[in-house]
Amino acid sequence: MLRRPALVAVVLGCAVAMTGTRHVTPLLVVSTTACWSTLIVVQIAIALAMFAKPASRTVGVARALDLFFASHVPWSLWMLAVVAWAPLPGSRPLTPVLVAALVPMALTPRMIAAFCREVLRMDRHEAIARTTMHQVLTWGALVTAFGWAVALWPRIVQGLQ
Amino acid sequence: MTSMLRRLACLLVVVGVFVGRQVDPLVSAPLRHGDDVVLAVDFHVHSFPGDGSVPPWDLAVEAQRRGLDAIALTNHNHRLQWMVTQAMPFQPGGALLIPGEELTSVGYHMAVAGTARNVAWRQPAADAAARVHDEGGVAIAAHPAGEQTTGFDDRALDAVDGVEVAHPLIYDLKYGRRDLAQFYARAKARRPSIAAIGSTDYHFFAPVGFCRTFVFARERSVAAILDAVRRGATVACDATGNTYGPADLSASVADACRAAAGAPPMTPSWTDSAAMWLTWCGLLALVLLGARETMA
Repeated sequence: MLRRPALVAVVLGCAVAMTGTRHVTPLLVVSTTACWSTLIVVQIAIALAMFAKPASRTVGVARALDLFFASHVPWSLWMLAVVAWAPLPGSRPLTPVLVAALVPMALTPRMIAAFCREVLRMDRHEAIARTTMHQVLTWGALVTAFGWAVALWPRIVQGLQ
Repeated sequence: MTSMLRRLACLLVVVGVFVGRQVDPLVSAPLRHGDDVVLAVDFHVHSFPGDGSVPPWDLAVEAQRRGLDAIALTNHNHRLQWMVTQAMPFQPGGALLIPGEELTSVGYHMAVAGTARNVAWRQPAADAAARVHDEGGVAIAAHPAGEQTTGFDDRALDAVDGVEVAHPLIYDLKYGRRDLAQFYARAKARRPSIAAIGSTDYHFFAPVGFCRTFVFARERSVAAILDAVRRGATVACDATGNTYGPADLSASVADACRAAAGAPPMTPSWTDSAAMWLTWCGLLALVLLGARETMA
């Protein structure tokens, strides 16, 4: 039932391995997939928080989760595009792939809203509210993790000076 | 029909990954210079978990494949990647791993290698370098260009062990090469024996060891590598085969530097490319086929 989250994890793991080393081996792919599955776990937790409640859900939680991850297709395609483009230092610029990220950023909320309407049987306003909550939680978690990883605070202080 | 295509896509992924396994490593015999063994080291590598994508144990293998003998794990102001590696039930193979961090402060970044504990970033660069020394490590001025040189006053220049003079910035920024060269010259004027360091500042995109440091060490160990940096027995090597550092040492690794500059993935082998693109095509098909099923 969790086939789609598993596929997203494999795409993420392979994409990381390929952009990071420009090659793949079984051990490398298993390792990167396992490590980056933490991101999938976080997404599952956020998704569960989002649709655990609705009584009018048309399918069970596991199936709903599986269907929910269909909304990850734009980001999966973007990750594969990054692999295809992956710049070596000093060669291609990174800007095109960053700009291309606008496409999944725009499509994903629409797909989640559709999921809320079709699978969770929400009306339009409730679907928009739930999608907004999901995006705020997801991007909030991402920005927090990114801020920690790059030591954002000293950079902000430097910027303010 | 869709089911058969999906199976075919899975097969592509599996075949691609297993073809990738056949890729020959680039490991070469170590160079010698008098009594010293010449080791290739990347002193500035970010890894998972942090702002690097690949975990340290995989980076160790990849670094060896890229002809490196050691890499320093330098995430920003934390050492979680090192703690996770230590907690693993296996010993990573491949290149030596050196614990460290990239001290990310206001006005300076400092690549720290060989320390046992975290060093606070809220302090002047000179004090941070002194603290690094107390912890048994070496302090390297990281990509000293633009705003990230303001924290390196003369006292700090006297305190650091090395300067990144070969770094991807020399290709990515218009004045990167000039800025790094000027900073290195300034540091060298104060202390002629300061170590010339070449580092990749690896995060997400290959290759690790893009720029590297040739270290003239007494033996192949972390302690000997750190000692060589303190003595200034290093040569920095950039991705186009240029060397920086003492003339006699530079001459002895000039060929090795040129060879490293052309090593895959700068010039990927046929097998490497085939394995990667088979996997990529399989994944693309799986993502698209999955999406189609959802719409039905």
